Amino acid sequence: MIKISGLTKNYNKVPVLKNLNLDIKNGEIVGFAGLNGAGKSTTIRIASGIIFPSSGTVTVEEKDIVNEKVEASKYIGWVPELPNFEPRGKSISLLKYYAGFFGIGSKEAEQKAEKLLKQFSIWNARKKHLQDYSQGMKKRFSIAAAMIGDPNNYLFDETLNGLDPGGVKEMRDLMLSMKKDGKAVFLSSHILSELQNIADRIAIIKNGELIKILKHSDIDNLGETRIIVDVKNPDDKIFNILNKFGNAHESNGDILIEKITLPVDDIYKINEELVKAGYKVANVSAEGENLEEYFLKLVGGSL
Amino acid sequence: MKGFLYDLKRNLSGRFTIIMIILIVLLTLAVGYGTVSSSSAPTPPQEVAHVMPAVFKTSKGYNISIFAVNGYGTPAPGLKVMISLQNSTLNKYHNITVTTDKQGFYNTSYNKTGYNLYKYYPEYLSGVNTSRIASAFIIKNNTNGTYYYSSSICSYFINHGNVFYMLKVHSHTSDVKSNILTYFVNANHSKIPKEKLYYNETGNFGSSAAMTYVGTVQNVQYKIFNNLHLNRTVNNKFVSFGLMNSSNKTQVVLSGIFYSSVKPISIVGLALDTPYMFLIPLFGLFSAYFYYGKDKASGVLESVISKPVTKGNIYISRLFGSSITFIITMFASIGIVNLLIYKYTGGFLPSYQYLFLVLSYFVEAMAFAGLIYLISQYAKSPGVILGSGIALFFILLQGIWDIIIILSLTSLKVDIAVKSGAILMSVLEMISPSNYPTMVVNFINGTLPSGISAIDIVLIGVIWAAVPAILSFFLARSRD
Repeated sequence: MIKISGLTKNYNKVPVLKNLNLDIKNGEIVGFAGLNGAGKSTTIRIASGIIFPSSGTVTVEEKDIVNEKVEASKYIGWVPELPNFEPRGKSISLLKYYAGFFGIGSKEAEQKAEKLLKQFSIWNARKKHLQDYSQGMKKRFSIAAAMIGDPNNYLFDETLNGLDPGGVKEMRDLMLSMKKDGKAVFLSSHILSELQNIADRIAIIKNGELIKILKHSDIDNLGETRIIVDVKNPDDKIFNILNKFGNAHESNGDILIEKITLPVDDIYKINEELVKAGYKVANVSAEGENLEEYFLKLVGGSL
Repeated sequence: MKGFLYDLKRNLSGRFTIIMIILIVLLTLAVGYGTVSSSSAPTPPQEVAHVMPAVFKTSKGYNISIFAVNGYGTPAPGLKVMISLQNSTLNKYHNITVTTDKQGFYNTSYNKTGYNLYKYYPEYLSGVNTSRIASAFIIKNNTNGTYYYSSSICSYFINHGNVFYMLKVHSHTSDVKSNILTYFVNANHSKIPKEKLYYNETGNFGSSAAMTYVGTVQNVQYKIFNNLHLNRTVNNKFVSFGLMNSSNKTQVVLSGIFYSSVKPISIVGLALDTPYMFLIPLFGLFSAYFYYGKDKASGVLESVISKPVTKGNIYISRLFGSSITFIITMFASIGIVNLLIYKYTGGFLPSYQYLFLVLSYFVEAMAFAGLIYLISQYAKSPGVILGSGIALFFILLQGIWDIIIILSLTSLKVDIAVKSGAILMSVLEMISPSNYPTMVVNFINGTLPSGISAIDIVLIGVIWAAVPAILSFFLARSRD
């Protein structure tokens, strides 16, 4: 479990994170969405112990990442957007080096390294220098490096960027299996559809401030709900009926009711009224905004 | 420390380190070899032959005896020796070329008279006579006197027809100490009577000065004294050796330098000065850059920092990796010079001088590395770190730094010719770590300006080796 409390970060007195509070529970995938420069990477880099917060705390399994760095980092695996490793390093020796920090012995580390390299299909490249790896191979290696200590918490910083559809699927499956194993996964991404697919919650950050946390159940009914009415024999009088439920108007051949005045669960009442009035109703349905529309409306920008 | 062995291995086996170690060792070997060999310029003793002739007048003519030895005093068989019997007006002469036997001797008779001069070539190189020709007396029963053909190599004394030779020869085991060969010959080829070898350090044998007993020779034709009990107190000084008979009458004296060594530290200083002036700062700067600064600025270090380790520990681990690499390289390369010194002077550097030299170059490398560690805490790109390092290299380079100081002092109208100005200049020179090894060599040689003590030298060394590194440690721990 990762607990972020009152996290603030200033660069040259300019705040890039402002009093951020967020929990990522075990067995949960939390998506982290925001425009470029919103503070996603800064948050993740602080949580992984790479940079220091100006104030606030990040605890990993109740260990403070600043004051109890070594203990806290035992429970964290960080996968950066652009993995950067010792260019002339080789995968096995580097994984063994990392494993040493987790107190894993050389022989066990070698076995773990082999297993991970095979799992991520880079075993055959084990004799190559990392500088000769493709970006995709480096990304796979960085996931292996994050998993060498088998931590309980994972921080994925824009890890889906640059992956082909197969790679995205592999990552999705990996995160879901991590969730299944009770790990906490914190994933920042621009690919909102992927967040929508796998995240239990999505935290939205704007200019360093956390402005919204969406539960998965909220995602299907984002923003303002509107009702679409499909009637086979419409006339002008129909609006007298529908305006009782909100602001009804015609749009592209459909009748839309916006600013609805009844709960979404009661939209069957619209159907009842129309049928009583002699209209042939083909469909009455409610729909919210999609995540992307909602997100852009919320953060006021473009992806 | 976790990860330390990996960092050390990476540092030691890194391409840059290997190239630098090879460069340093090869250049040290080349320059060291050039320096020590030009300091000593020895001719291989086995290629030198000394000829010790004696020509005795007989009733029928002349008995000619030759004994030839090489530079070690070992008999030289098969040497073709050119000799000439001449009269005083040179209108009558008899030239012969003879070859020494297996024992280095050649004995013959010439049954004609009328000669009073004997000429020969006293020294041969690789079996060929040198152009110098020497004269020897034709010995009669009553001939007495001491003669030299080369005052510091050989002398002979004729005592009633007996000839005593003393020849300075090389030692097989030391290039510093010489041995003495004594050779006795008369017309009857008798063995030498009991004679004792003494020496005194004043170079004035037979004076009232105390004489030291070396050894005895008896009943042989020649003997090599290979332990002359000499030590550094007579380094490059004239001493005298003499053979005395049982009545304490001096038979023959040879004065010369029998213990000669150049001060090893001077040779080492000379050998290391030029290559190390460039290589050590570069080694320090680039080692810190490649194994820390570049990793930090390019983000490579982040992949390590995210593991259960602190930034301080990573820094210490990298610092130790570089430090150990430096110290191993210094011990090895200066050790090589030390071996060369031994080969050419017969003595190693005293261990404390060796250690001081190693430490002085270690300090220099650490200082330059420390500066890069410091810059790395602030610079955000590898290019800035590299550029700053190269700028520092040129500014602090021995020579350039001195020019900067001189120009600065001159512009401030400080006269460096007066004592206060000279001390100020020395103090300012210390600011550059490039000057530190020279300072240590000067300290060992006793040529540092007055006012700078051993404590100052140690203090400067500690400051340069530790302060930038320690400052960097605290910054590494506390900065992003």
